[in-house]
Amino acid sequence: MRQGRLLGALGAVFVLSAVGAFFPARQPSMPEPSLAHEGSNAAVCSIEQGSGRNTVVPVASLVDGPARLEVFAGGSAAGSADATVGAGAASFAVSDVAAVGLAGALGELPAADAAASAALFGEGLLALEACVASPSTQVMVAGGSTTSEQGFLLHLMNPYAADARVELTVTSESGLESNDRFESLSVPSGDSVTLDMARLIPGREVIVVTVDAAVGNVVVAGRQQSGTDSALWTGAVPGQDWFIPVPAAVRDGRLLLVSPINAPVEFQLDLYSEEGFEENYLTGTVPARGQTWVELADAPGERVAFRVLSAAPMVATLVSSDEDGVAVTNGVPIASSQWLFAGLGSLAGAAENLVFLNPGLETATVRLDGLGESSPMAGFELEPDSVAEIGIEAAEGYLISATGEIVVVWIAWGEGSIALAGGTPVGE
Amino acid sequence: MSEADTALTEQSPAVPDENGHGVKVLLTDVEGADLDAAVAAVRRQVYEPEPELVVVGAGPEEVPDGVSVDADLEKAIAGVGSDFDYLWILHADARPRPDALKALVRELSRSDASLAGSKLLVAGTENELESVGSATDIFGEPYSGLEPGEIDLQQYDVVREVAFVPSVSMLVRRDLAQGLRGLDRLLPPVAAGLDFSQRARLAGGRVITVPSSEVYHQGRCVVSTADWRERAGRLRSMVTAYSPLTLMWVIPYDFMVSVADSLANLLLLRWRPAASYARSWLWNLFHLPSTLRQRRRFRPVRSAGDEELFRFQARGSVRLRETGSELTGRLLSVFDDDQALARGTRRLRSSPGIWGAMAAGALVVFGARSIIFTGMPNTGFSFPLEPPTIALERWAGGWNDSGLGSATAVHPAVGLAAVVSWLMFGAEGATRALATVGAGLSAVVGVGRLAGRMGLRGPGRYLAGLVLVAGPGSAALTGVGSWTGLLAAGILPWTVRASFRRASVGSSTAIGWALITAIPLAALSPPLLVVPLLTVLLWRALGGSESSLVLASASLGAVVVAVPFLVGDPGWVLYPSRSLGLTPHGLWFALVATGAAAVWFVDHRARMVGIAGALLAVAGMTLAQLVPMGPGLEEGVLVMASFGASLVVAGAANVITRDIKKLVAVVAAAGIVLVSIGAVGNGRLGLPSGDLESRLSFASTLAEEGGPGRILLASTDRLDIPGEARAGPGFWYRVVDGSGVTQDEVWLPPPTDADRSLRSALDEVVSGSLRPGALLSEFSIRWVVLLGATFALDDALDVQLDLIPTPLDPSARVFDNPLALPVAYTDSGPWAHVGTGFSGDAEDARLNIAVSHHAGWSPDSAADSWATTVSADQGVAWFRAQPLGLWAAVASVLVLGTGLLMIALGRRSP
Repeated sequence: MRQGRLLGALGAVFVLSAVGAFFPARQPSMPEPSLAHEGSNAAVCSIEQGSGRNTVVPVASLVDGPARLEVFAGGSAAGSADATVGAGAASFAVSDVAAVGLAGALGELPAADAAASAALFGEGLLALEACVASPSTQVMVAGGSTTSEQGFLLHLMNPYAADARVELTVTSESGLESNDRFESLSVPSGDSVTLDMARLIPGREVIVVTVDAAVGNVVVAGRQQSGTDSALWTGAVPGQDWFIPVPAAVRDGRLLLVSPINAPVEFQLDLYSEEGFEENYLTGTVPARGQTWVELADAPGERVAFRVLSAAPMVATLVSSDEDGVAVTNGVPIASSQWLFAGLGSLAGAAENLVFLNPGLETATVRLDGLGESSPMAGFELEPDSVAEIGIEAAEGYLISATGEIVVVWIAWGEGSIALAGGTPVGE
Repeated sequence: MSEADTALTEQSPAVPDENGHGVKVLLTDVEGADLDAAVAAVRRQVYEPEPELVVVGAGPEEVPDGVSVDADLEKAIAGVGSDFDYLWILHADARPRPDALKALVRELSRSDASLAGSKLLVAGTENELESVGSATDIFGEPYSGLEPGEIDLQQYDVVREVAFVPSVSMLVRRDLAQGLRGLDRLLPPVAAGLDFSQRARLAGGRVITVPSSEVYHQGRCVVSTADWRERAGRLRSMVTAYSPLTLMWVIPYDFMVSVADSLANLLLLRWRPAASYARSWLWNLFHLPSTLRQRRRFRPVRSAGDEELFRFQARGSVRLRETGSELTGRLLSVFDDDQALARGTRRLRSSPGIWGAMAAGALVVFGARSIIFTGMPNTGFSFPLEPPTIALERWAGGWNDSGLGSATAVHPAVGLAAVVSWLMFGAEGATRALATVGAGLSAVVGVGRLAGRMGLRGPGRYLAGLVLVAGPGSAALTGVGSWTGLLAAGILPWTVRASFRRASVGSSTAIGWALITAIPLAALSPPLLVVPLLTVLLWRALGGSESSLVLASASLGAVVVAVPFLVGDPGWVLYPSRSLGLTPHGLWFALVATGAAAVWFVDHRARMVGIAGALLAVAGMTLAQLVPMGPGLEEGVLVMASFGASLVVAGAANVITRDIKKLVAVVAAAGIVLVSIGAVGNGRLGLPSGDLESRLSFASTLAEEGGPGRILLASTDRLDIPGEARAGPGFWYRVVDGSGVTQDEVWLPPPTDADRSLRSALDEVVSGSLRPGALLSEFSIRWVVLLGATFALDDALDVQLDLIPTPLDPSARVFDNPLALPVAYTDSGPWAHVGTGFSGDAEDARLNIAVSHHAGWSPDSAADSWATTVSADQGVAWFRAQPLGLWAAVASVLVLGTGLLMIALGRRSP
């Protein structure tokens, strides 16, 4: 009897052992699913105020709400202003915030689906650029020049809580530049550092700066001075796909292709024009950590756009510098169905156009909604592989919507001045 | 002397012949003694001249012919004429051999002594020795040197001087007896003998024992020497005999010995000695006037100093030595149930159990070497203890400060640790280290003793304890730093053992032990309370006896210790999302099954133990492997798995022989033990290394006026977070006290509105908020520490504006939040944390406290969103104890008291 019970128990031991050993173990508990990063509602802008130069920071947003602009310098806020974004737009005049010369400004926007721009005005001066929402560990600023009568400033801004340390790799037509200021450059929290390239490496035709953040984060902008005009553009994250719609006013400009890697990079240039899409319009190789120019004037057609595809990350920058002024802007890395242009239509004394490219296979219906009180509306059809350039009515900014993914570039020009800027894709 | 007695004396004068002296026998009446038989025994004495007999006492109404009666011994002695040389004071319950008197007279005379005592043998036995005269200590405590039940083999048959002889049978010179005025009638027999002997010696007499004078003693007069009357008598005899100089130190010394002995006996769960001491001191206070009179009467007779007494006294306190010896014996007997140590080294060498215990104990100590030399790790689920009073306050319904605070009861282990820490005078480091090493040893000894009670005697039963410490489940638990799991493993075998009743133990004592051993188990791991019941059910189902369902059920009563915690936080037992997902290694299923198969070849009893253990082990492991459960249940089934595996080893390694079948079982057991030993090889009994306390000490070091605030810890690896963690968006997190993580913080209470608000804030931070510092400030989070690999929170905090990255820890990302608010503050400034509450300057304002709102806060609690505000007008803020916790604390004390009382009532004091 007892033996029978023990035998039964032994059998139970074997059965339970088999169950335990061969059935899948319960899963350890896991944290809840990670939340998508909604995107930063910050906007870091390179501003300049004083000496006849004024910066305006217009804001555009899909969501109305409070916005704030803080000019930072020396580790603290040099001044700040608050505004309410109503009807999708608001604007900060830096002159009302702080007169600090060249500095960084941090915009806190009502939502992640918002954009801010920095518009620099002066006598014979117009510069534009969309502010940067979030920093990247590596960016490239290409297209600066320190030949006679030209100045090139590299502006490194750190609005964040941590001090940053960056490594600069500077190349020019002469090759890799060597200067101890380029090594382990510290950018204190709440401050910005400006490198005057004309003093450090004068006489360079084309300067390309690769900024690698070793510690912390910085936002980088380039400022090219030519005559009375200036160009303002921000560092671009290297990528393998770039769109470059070319406004008619800079049809004679140049496309600069630069690579951050220490190996030659093959690229392919596709052309969009009235004559249609021409794949492999041009192919070539960007030397290791080098640069390649493409003269836009050589391309056939009046309204053109390019697409650059490369075998490794690189940056494409559109540069225009002549007697009409100087303008630099980076290629657009993505096509989007919604774009925000903060301040578009609000630049006093300047003409403004938008250049559209439809790289898709379908015709896109494009709609332009003016922001701010006036709120003009417009729309048109954009054929596949086609480029269009249209003038803009006065507004405080624009929301561009399309039924397909398009690429848009903003150009403005005044007396002896010209400016290029990209938009901010939203609603992705 | 009575008239009749006088007449008798006059009529029958004793005339000494050449062989003898005149002796008068004073037969003192003893209640219940057969006086006629006693008289007959005296009359059988082979002694010439025939001794004259006087019965002393009020008892007898009729006495045999030729026997006189005197009611008072002193008067009887005083009335003895000079024609008698000696007086033989004899109890009526004594039965002297016929030559007893002759031997006494002969040796007294030959030794030129004044007082001689007979060798006393216990009547009705095979010559069991009762007394051959005694030494004493300074306090008069007798020290005979006799073993209980020692037989007379003439081993003490030497006439020698002794400190005293009992008054049962003593021959004394008449003149001395009259000078000393006889025995002190207030004293019981032993104390009376002592008193008389001491006074005789101080009067210049020699006191000897005469073993050739044998007297059988019925013991009707005997009161235990531990009885309070004997104690009181010894104290009185000291006051009577000693000089004032000696009394000045010996009385306080005696008092201290009384206290120490009382305490030591309380440790042995005996309260009667303390009462006996108290009564004896009170008795002496009451009789102090008569004692002083006695002392004055003795003074003229005294001719020697106290040194004469000291010559025959043992050093120190006999009583303390005996109690200490008993305590040591009890301690040793914990693992020496074969009594090998107690019975000497020869037995020790042949005791397999003791060898197994010593080997296992040595392995535990070796396995705990790092804890012994460098202290406990502060990581996982093991952290420093709070001061005992604060921890007890928390346990008794006080504020639970874990996380953002809660009124939910703290884990009952907090209360237990507080009690132990209090007993260790608040030395928390020593408490934790001793408790941990003690748990290891307790597991070893406990399994050995349990297996012993199940009928095993082999060496494997102690080695099996190692499997309980580091077996399939325990290793998984200790690997993540589960300190309470390890302690629970140390207690479990004792609780189970308490359900296996010894026939010699009364039911009251057995139930008492079942309750007492279950209380710490309930405090450490409440779900384990069912294991004794499961074991008993299984044991009985397999045909085993000796176990008791009543006792196993009684141990469930200890759950009262944990009721507030279990009621307040059922998720600790039930919610799988809170568990660590610990599972035994798959190899263990094979090891245990092999062990179970192997025990089939051993003897029946060991087979039962092994198979019962295997069932518990695989049941525990399978539950842990397959069934979703909360962390409390997870801990319970894992410890149960190890417990079962330890029984497998105990059964399999019960007998080590060359029999190939039994050898197979031993090999299987050895395999299980070897795999287990590996887990404790790190020197911390398997607990992980690390000192989070030190890593986070920057919070205290850099604390400002508002205090160190709180620290938010986050990681994607659950085990990076100390104690319990909350599930966040893609990571685990929790907040801890910046002044140092303490053990009570290990368990997080159920989420409150405060926790939900913090979670919302974290969602915002992860979503890309620019100012996380501002979001976290209201929670008093001064520091954010990101542990392990980089994750979403790192990305978010890389691009924010108000948390300052601070390189304080090379293996973590630390952010300082300068915007953090103090945990408690008014508009005038921060308040300090005092105990479980806060204090500051009294003012007519509201005090904001960054803890979950609860109406129990005083004075005048109000909610401020999720937080609490109280009136600051009293300068203090406190939390009122919650009724359930308070009642449970009272009930726990009652259960403990009941258990102790049942044990005490079931024991006989020595």
